[in-house]
Amino acid sequence: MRKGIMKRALSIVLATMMAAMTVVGCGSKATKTSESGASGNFQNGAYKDYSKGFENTVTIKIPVYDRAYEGWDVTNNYYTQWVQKEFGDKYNVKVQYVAVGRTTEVADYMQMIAAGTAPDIIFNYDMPQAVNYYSEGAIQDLDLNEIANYAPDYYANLKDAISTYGKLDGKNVFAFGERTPIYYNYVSLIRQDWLDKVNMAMPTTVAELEKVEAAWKTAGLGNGGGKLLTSSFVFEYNFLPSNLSDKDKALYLDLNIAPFTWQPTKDYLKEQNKMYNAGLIDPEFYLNVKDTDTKADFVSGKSGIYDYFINSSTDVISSLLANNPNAKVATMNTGANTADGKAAYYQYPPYGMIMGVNSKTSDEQRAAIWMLLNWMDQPDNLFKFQNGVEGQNYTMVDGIAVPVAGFTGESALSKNNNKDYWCLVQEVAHYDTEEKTYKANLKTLAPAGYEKLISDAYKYANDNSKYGVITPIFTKTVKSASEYTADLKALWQTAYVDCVTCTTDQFDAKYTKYSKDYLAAGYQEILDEKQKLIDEGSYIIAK
Amino acid sequence: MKKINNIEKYAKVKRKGSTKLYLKMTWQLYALMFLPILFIIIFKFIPYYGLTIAFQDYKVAKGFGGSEWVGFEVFQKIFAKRDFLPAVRNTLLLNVLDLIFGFPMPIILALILNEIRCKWFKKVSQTLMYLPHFLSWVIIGALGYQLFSLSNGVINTLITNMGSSPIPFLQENTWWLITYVLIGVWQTMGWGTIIYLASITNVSPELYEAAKIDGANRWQSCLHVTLPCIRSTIIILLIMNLGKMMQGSFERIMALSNAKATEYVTTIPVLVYRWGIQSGKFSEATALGLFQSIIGLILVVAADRVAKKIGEEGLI
Amino acid sequence: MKTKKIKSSRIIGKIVDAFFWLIVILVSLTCLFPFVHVFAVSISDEAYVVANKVVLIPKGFNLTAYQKIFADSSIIRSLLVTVLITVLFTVIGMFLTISAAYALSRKELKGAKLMTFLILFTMYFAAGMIPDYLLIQNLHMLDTIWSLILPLCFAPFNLLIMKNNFSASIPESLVEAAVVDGAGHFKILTRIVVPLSKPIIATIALFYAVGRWNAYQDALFYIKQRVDLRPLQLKLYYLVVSSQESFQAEGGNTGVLTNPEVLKAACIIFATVPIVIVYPFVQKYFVQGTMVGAVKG
Repeated sequence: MRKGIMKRALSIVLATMMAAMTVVGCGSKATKTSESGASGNFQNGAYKDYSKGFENTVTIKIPVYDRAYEGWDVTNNYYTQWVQKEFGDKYNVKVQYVAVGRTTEVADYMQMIAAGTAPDIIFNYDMPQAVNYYSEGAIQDLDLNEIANYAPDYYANLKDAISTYGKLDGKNVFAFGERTPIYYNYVSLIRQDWLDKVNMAMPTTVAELEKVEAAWKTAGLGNGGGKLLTSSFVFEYNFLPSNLSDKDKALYLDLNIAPFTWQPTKDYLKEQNKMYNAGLIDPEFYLNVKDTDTKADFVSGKSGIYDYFINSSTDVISSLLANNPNAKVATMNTGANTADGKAAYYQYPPYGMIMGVNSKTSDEQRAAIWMLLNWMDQPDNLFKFQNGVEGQNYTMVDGIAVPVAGFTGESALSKNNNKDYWCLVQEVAHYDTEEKTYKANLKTLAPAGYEKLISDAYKYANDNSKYGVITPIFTKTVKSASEYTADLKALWQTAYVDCVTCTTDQFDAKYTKYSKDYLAAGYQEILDEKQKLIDEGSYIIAK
Repeated sequence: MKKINNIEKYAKVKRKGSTKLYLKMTWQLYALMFLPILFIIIFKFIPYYGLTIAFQDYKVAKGFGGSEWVGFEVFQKIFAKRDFLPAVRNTLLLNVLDLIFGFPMPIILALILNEIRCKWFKKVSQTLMYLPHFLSWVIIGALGYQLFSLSNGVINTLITNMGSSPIPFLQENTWWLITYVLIGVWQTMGWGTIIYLASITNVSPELYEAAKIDGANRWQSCLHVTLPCIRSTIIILLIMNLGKMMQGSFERIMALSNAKATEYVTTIPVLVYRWGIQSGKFSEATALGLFQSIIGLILVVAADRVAKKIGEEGLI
Repeated sequence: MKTKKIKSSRIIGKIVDAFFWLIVILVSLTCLFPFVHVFAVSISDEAYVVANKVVLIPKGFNLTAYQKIFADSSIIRSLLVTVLITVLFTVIGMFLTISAAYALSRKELKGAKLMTFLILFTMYFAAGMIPDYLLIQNLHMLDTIWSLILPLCFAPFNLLIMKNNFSASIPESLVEAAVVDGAGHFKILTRIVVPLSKPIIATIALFYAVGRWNAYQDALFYIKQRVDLRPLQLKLYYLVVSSQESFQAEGGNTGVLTNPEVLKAACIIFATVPIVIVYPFVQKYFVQGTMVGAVKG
């Protein structure tokens, strides 16, 4: 009786599955294989001219991050309507903004790709994830001449980036948003009043930092903070040898895979172990996973150093003062984490957002996308996107837009200044001169009365500018990386926390053991594959 | 209702006569089942084609029919991964502990609550006891660390103030296990009493009277009247829980785990998240899910058979 | 002699009673504690909350978070949406569950065991995120409230519990008698089974309502473009997540949501209180079915 039911049940299940599969269809339409040469818009020796608009209305779906800002409809607001009016209506294009959850973006994209409803641009900030979309078959190849034709101004800005970094397996695949990075918006706040209390100057090397933190400990003030490193691995930068070869850079530097077995990492971990055992850093640093955790420690007075992206609406300083009325903050010297005061830093590639075109996008839609990007990249349009309407959102003072405080009119920008719209063409808002950009940033980054924090950060960034480290990029997909990254990230956490928190005499044994584990868990395969690519020269390093 | 009062007469009616009536009416039962079965087919069974990607090299853009078939390769791959066996061990360990400590608690609490006569106290305490069910694990985790962390936790501050050394509730492997299970018990015990209390109200008061007349005290009437009456509820909940032996709550692990006590933290749900959502490897995540499901189904069917053997009604 | 025995047993009984009360009080307090904490945070000043200084007692009393909530029409709207889908979900779910539980508990239903097994099967096998999404999309239910109601409203777990309860507590002789009297199954269900099963029906209805109220994972994927259809727990999820968001990858000038921690706590209270106060009303159905005593074995 039981067996009979099981058999019947299983056959029912299988039958339904088979039936459903035929209903769902034998897969989606095959991905467009583009010819190795020009795109479908290229006919009779020239690209089709759409400058008067498209014959039939072309609908393009443009993705935009949805951060669930209160009271903000991300797909329908003053600015999306403005884009439709000034661009869409002019060229007979319907611009449809599609919300992509910021925290669920990969899942959202995967669902939409599977359903065939994905936006025409498939984007991500992370190159490995963008490459992943490509290997899933979701992205079509690009014709650079087509971009130059339909988006001349945009292409002029991004030509180098696209032709250098946008290639994968020999094909042009990615377009980008332009990035002119600034390095003075990520600061380490340090308790100046604590420095004053122990009569010490701002530390400029890690040896001095250790002395400062030891003094703080003796005086019962607090520790030097600490955070769990989970991704964006740049911790080893301050321990890099001075004669680091490009090949080693390509092999070991990776934002997503910590180079655990590399000497600089060992040096970093040894240093951390020393500081941990001397009680200089937060003994529970590994519990500080989110920004709110380190912020809580700093604001409550438990630790004296806090790293974050500063901006004028930050509540860190006000909260700090509420809990510690006599607190004073300063920007920590960037050399304080280095042996010799020369702070190496991660130098951003010249691109921000990585964009691919959906493999299902038609020729006309693709042309419309380039035209949109070009329109967005026009200085006036971009300026309006980033600042709003003159006289309402801002006033011009000395050629810089000064936001009107508390403006809530119709043309109010989103909480992050419409970033999620103009990130397609530009990653960091800037003016034509660096000086103007700095002046404008001073206003938006510095909390009222704390301009010195930014000006100090600016000075440090300039002093350090030659110590930027550029990560080489591979021009072919590193298959084992996508295979093992998640597992290695988990193993890294266990391994490095154990190495840092153990007693100093245990360090070497633990480090050796975990190095073996790390290699066995897939890192060896990754190193081997990367080495092969390096040997055949399939990597680029920008100068 | 006069007719029902003549039950005695009707109860003696021969079965044969009523069998014919039964057969005439059975179509109504099918009618009752129509919509529920339709829902099950549409919303549960139709999407099962998605399980086939466990046997494919699934590429999202190619879809379910267009991706390449690879047979059992995906399964071989995941079984060979170094985290797989530890994850199986941990999943079983955590679930067994939850079962041993977490399953009896609501029953005991329900029995205790049943003994309490004061109505308002019962109402208030029940409402309070199921509050934890409404908290998301993110919040419980944050609160857990505020309470139990080694250097600043409220509990450890109290302990050090009393002179003892602090206890690494969440920061040492064995303690972590204990704390994890206890917090899980705490979160579910109040809510779990509801179903038992509902069953207890089905116990007819005459049975209690009869037991009292026979001289049973409170403990005995609880043991021999209350408990047997909720026995079938206990059995089917036990069976259903056994089927969850390979599953688990990913959010609970994420909320309570940290980088120090990592011995028991990797479980199958964690791997499903890590390989599925984080790495975008849907074939592997689906294969892992299938593994969980098959084991779960086997356990449920086996447990149901055992239950039937010992005379219970069982699930199916 | 006898009075001594009665007296000592009375004393033991009182001690046992007191012991029970103690346990219940202790357990209730530990369960109440997190809510007291969240409530204290929701009426505190952000600066102290950020510093983790608020445990059970609020610091820097202020009600700005609640003012924000009640002034924000989108949160009120979320509440209404949540109430709507919870009610629909529970009603439809109960209709399906009661029908199926009764039908499957009848031994004369051919194929009952098979159907029960198939339903049980779905409790352990899940198709995955993408196939579910494709189904909802093909049914044109994306960005509608139906995507939050129909897929899950018939829950196998609830069905099995109710079926088991019907089998165990509805006396067969009662049904037989009604059958002989000419009543069809529909009548038996509505006139006999349902009135007798008030406790289990109230319980399962509570399970459905609370289950729908608390869940947001499906809304996370199905409600994307229609911001006004976001249920309350989804809004809460976004609040929690946005306060943890790290802007590392983007490194630009991005605005910060002020007072996120306190607002988060206030939203938790706002989202939980309505459903918590439902239980006492459900409790009154936990009474004896009126017919139980009428039939002897």
